Amino acid sequence: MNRRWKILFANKTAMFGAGLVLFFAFVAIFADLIATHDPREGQPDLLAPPSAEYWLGTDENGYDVFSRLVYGSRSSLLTALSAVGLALLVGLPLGLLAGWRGGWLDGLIMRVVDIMLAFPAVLLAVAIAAALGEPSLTTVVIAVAVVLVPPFIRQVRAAVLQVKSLDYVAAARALGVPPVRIVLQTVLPNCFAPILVLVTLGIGIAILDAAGLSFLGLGPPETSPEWGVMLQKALRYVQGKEQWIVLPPGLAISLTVLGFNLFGDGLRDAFDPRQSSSR
Amino acid sequence: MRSFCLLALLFAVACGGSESDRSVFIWGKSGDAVKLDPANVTDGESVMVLTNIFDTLVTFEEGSIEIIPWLAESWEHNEARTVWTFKLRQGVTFHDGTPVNADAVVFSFMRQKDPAHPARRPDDAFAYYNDNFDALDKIEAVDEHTVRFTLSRTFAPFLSTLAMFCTAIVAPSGFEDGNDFATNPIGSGPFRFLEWKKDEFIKLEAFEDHFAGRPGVDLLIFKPIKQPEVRLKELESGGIQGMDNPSLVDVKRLEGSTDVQLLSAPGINVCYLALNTQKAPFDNKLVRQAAAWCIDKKRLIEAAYAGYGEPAVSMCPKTMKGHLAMKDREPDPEKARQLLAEGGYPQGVEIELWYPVIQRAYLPDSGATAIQLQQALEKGGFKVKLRKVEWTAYLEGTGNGAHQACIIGWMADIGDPDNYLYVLLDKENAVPPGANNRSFYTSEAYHQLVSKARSVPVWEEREKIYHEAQRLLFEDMPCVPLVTVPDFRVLAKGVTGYTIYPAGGEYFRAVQVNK
Amino acid sequence: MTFAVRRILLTIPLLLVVSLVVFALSDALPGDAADLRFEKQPQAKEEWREKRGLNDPFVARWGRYIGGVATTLDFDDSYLDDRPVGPDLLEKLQATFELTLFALTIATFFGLLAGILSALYPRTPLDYAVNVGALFGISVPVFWLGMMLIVIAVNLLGFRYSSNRVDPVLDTSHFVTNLYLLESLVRGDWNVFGSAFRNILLPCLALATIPLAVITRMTRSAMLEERGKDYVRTAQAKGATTRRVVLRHALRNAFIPILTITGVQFGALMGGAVLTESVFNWPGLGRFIVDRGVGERDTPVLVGGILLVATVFILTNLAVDLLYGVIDPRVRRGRA
Repeated sequence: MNRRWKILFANKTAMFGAGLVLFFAFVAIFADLIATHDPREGQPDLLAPPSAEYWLGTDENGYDVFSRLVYGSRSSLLTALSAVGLALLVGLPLGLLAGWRGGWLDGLIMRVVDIMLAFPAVLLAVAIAAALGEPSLTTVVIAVAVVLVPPFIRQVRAAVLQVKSLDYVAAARALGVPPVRIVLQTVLPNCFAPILVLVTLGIGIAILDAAGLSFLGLGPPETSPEWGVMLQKALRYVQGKEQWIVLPPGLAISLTVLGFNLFGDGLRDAFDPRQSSSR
Repeated sequence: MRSFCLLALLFAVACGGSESDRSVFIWGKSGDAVKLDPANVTDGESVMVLTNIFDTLVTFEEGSIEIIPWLAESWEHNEARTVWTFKLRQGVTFHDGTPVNADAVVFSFMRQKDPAHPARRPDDAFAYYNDNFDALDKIEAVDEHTVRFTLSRTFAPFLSTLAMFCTAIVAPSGFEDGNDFATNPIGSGPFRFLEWKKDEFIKLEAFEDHFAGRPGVDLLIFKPIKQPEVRLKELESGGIQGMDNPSLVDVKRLEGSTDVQLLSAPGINVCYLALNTQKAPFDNKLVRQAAAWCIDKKRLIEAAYAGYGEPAVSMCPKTMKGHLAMKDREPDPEKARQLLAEGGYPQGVEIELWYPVIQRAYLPDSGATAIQLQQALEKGGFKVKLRKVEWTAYLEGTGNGAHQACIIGWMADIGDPDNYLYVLLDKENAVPPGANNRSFYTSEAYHQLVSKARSVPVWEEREKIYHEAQRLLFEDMPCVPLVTVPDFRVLAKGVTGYTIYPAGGEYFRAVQVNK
Repeated sequence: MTFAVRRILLTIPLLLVVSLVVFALSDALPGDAADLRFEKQPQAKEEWREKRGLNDPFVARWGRYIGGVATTLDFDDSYLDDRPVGPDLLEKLQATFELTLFALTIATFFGLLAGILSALYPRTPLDYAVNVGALFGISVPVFWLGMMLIVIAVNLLGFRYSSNRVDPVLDTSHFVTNLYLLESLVRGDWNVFGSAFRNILLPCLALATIPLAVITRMTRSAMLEERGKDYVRTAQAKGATTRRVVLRHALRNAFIPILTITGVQFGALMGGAVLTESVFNWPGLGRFIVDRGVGERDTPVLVGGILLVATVFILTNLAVDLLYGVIDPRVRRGRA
């Protein structure tokens, strides 16, 4: 274990990714202190260029771009975390169950996963967002979570299968230790690394999917300071001089997702070299 | 290395243009047509194609809403304006060579009027006909070139409605031999239908024998390009020669450009905030007035329309005849709070504002409009919760009166104030489902006015009645008119002969492309 | 039963269950296009529903639908205008197919190249750059990337950008398929080919970013793994240069995992191109499903579209598995 952490810490790109993630997490946590304005309050100046008053200018609604960006990190990360958390809540127990119990239950769960995987992820999210009625953050969270569940189940199951064959787990089973205890004490901790990888990469996917839904008009109402919403609204300025509206949300999304991807990749390389790069 | 050479070769192929001797005009539009049957469409994307394939009895003068003779050379009517006789132009033919005669005119109307007509298809809805021609009693061919319409009562806008696309004269031969008219239309207009590849293009060809002369280009192509920014990029790089609905942000950037031509015309439309008068708190006139006092239309136009637009004061737009010029309420949040208190809400009131996920010419950025209304109303003591709804669900919900307040707009199909003041606000149109009167305004006094105006034949008298109706609306405020947006078009350099028609539709017969 | 036969037979129930799920989901959606179409005529709507058999029990409707699809590719009629949606769906499927195929070709080419380079010089600045670059490609929201590609291509490079599939001035009415690029190549119609190629270039670049990252990383790790194996060391010991060994031997063996990942990506892209299609105005299946099926609630488009995409996904995976089995006999036992 220790050696693997060392590999991770020696991985420059992974550390760069971790730095990005930490930076945005910091901004998200201390958003109230960092922001200069209320992100939902229209300022008197519309489309004002960056100045001492508005560090990144204002948008067409008079919203302070800097403050929205700052609060956006909180909102976007929370959205992504909720989606991943929800997916984990469903995927983890099912994956554990499938991997640990095996047999017909495993077969059943995996067939369901096969079916879910056959559905195109983005289209599924769109259909779910539409079916849930009015676009809002909740619909985005649910739509993205549903899409993340099948790969989660798969990966957790694979991790459990790997752990199950380890000598000391086999020994514990032979000694008659209750399965629940083995799972909680041995299997789960051993699955920690692959799950961490999954969560890290999943957050990146969730942020992008949420932005995509916004682009298709299925995101939350435009008042919410959310990066996807900001970027979608800014697209009309993409070739104008008002780059202060376009670049910040675009770069914020890209850099955050890049951070999670780099870090997740490094994690995978360190803990699970055989698994790396299969999605 | 070899693959690199291949790529280079492909690139060379890709950059070479294609030569063609025929003059071509490609029009970029926001969406594809739905159907090409003029009687059976309700959307602007279909209409702008149809106005080039078909002719109507009368039409709009170039760039105006004045009516001029077209397929009909002349007409007369009785004093009550209930019997109209039209003389058709002689020697006009449809694209397939069959004659445009009185029978064809009768056919075009009867297939919409008569539920048992042999040319009916199961998906025929004839929405516009049903909305506008309930007064049409009888239509008959007097002789080969004379048609007579008999109305059950005076319907003042009758002549204007005959310029509308739904009354276009269709070729009866197009409904024979199992031809699907909606995908293979036959008309008599300046362009003949060639090919329709869904979501890619609609191709029309010049009709040499059109009675008004051969059109200016050989090939007219409509190309749907949804994103306005992408549409403009394609125009700038020469892929298309003209387009509608540019993003207003781009319009601002294009102003003064010499690379393209930017055209504009005052729009005949109104975007408004409909307040549901059947639901608290907007069942109270004072609360509605309070809302009107809040709204800062100038800021709204800056934010959501890039500065392009005229603050609307009346529901009958300034560009429409019958409009009454009134002094608007200046934004005054204090006054709003006071009225709100008088109306029984001294602590302010919470409301839910619906807005659609869609772009419309009158609503290019629905999110920004909603945000501006929220900002303005909250200054005046309202607490606004925004509710974003998908377009289909939006039309349904607001047509059923599920909302407290919603943002919606209207574009004229007919050059008559009736199309605004009756259609949008009369109590006859406040019946769910699908109510056009989204304020569910049921004032009896107002109903008396607009119904009277419908049957008064003399314009001056009608105008007085409409003025009174508008004053009543300004006091009652069932809805707050927000903005009238100009129409913008962008043309490539070298395109001439194009005019914006304010009543909708595009007429490309005079367009020429000079290389 | 051999592996291949069993694998193929397993696909059929999977497809059936997928169709059942799509069908059930669409049933659960609130409202459809007919609500608006017959807004003011509840009676006409009831008659229409009766005529279309929409009041029949679920199983009967599903059975009829599956029967129609399986026998005559009849994907039911649109709720908007009662015209069959099958031809439209298949046409758009071809458009998406061409886009995906081309994007994947670009991605595979550059992905292999970048992956091999990375593997040849691991832990060098080149390796890091490739790694970060590939991941950055999948980290940028594709709709923003698409817009920027257009702006850069037109404003800076003077590229004559044209959206959609082919210049509509060109006559394509005699084309039998909707695969402009491939058919014009077969026909030798260079005007159409050139135009189709120019139009597909930018959307392909945008779409290719996603598989590019995956293929690059897969190639890199597969190659690195092969590099450590005995036969490579032996060859090196015999005096072959590293580069030669890698290209000759390691690449061949790394081929299997790369092929797998490419196949999987193909299936995923067919359904995942919605955003790219929307930005570049590509008349593909994803956009059709979103605009018509979801936006206008034309249920048959939604059902048929998702079913088609899912089928392509399942069949691609099947093909990959079979191919895999042919190349590497060990799998035949390992998987079920």
